[in-house]
Amino acid sequence: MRTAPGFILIYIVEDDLSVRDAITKMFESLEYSCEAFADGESFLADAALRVDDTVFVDLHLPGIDGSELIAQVAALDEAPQIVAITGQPLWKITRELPKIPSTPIVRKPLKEQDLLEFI
Amino acid sequence: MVSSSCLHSVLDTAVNGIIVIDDNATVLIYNRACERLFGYTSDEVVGKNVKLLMPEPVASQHDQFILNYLKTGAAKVVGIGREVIARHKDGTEIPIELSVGEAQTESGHQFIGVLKDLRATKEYEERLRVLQSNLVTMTRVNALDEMGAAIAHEVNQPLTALMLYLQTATRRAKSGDAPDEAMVSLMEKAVSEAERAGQIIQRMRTFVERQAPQCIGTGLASLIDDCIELVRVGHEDNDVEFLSTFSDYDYQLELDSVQVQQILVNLIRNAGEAVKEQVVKQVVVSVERDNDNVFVKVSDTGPGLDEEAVSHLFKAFTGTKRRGLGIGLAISRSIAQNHGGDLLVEPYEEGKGATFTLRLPVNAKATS
Repeated sequence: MRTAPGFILIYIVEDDLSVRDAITKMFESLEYSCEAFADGESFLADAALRVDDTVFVDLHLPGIDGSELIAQVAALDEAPQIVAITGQPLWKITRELPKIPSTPIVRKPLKEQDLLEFI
Repeated sequence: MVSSSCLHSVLDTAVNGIIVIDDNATVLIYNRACERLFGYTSDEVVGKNVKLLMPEPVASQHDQFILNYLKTGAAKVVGIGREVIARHKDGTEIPIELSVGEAQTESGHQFIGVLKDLRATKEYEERLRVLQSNLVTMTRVNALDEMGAAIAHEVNQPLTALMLYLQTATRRAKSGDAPDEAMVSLMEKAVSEAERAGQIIQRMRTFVERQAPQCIGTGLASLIDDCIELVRVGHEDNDVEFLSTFSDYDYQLELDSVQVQQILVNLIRNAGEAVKEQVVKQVVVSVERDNDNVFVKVSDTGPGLDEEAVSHLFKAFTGTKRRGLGIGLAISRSIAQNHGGDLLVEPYEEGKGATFTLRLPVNAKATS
């Protein structure tokens, strides 16, 4: 396990307050540095992304859509690892897929292992 | 008195089959409608026993029926009229409505049968029945699916948070020099229960997602006609006028006809309810097309839907109707979206009724 605060940052973009808080608390308890955002706009404005970082993005977001956000981040020169999380039904996910072809998707409800395997 | 030639022309003009037999069941008169109905010519039947036109076992019992009637007056058909099965020349059985009268003539007792072909009516009734039962089943299945999906989705978020909090808390409880074993054990039990809840949600979701739409080419115009027919059956007592302006019967669309029918029946039925108290009671289904989409519009002459009503319209469990689950429109919309289309309501206009638009992509492929 890489526990190196300051070197690896985990970003969470999730509109549901409890889920956002729970993910943050989970990573923090494992001594990862973690920053959470409630929507794509504030994430794009404030996050200083580096190639070693990991970003968890909920597909359903207010404002800019999760898949749109992922596409933007993936297009960066030194793009971080991106993981989509979603509680949406399959047909909605299928509709988003073409926009985010190479992004792994984790479906809710999820356990910490489902997220930790990407770190 | 009417002349004999006039009588024959009357017999041959009649739409219904007319047969006259004597008390030995020998056919005396067999009109042109009968020739069409049974496939036998008049020459083949006149002079023969009428049981030729009946399937077993009635054919062998018929002579006895006549004897019984003549002896006891106990009528099976005479003066009553009933639905019976007749037999075509090629052996197929035909449902007919038979009414029988009798006459005493110089040449003896005669029976006059008037036969109405019920095949068209039967087929129509059967088709309506199948359509209706399909719809009822689908409505139930979809209501369950939709509730299942809604519950799964709503519960997913808190369950995810719960699971992560519990796992984090468990780790904390375990850390340190003297972990509270009883506490750790309780926390682990809680985690495994949260996990169980998650599995239930997943199973439910798998069940719902297995049911992809069955898409086949369907004639849109006749599909709309069917829907109107289905709704009309329930509206016989009030004078609501339902009509479709789309008559391109060659136009085919790839869709799950039962599911789309369900949406349209739901919309047309709602529209019918909305106009019940109006002076003009009209529901019009029309179709517009562009390169990518077909728009099926259901318009009514009801009071219309204001913004407040529209904002609640597609949410599950918010219906204003007492009957039903109040998830009709929510289901309808998700079916439409499942087809890659959508269900929309036109903005409110003073003095106009409501218009719902069902958008379906041309050659829609299911997105599941």
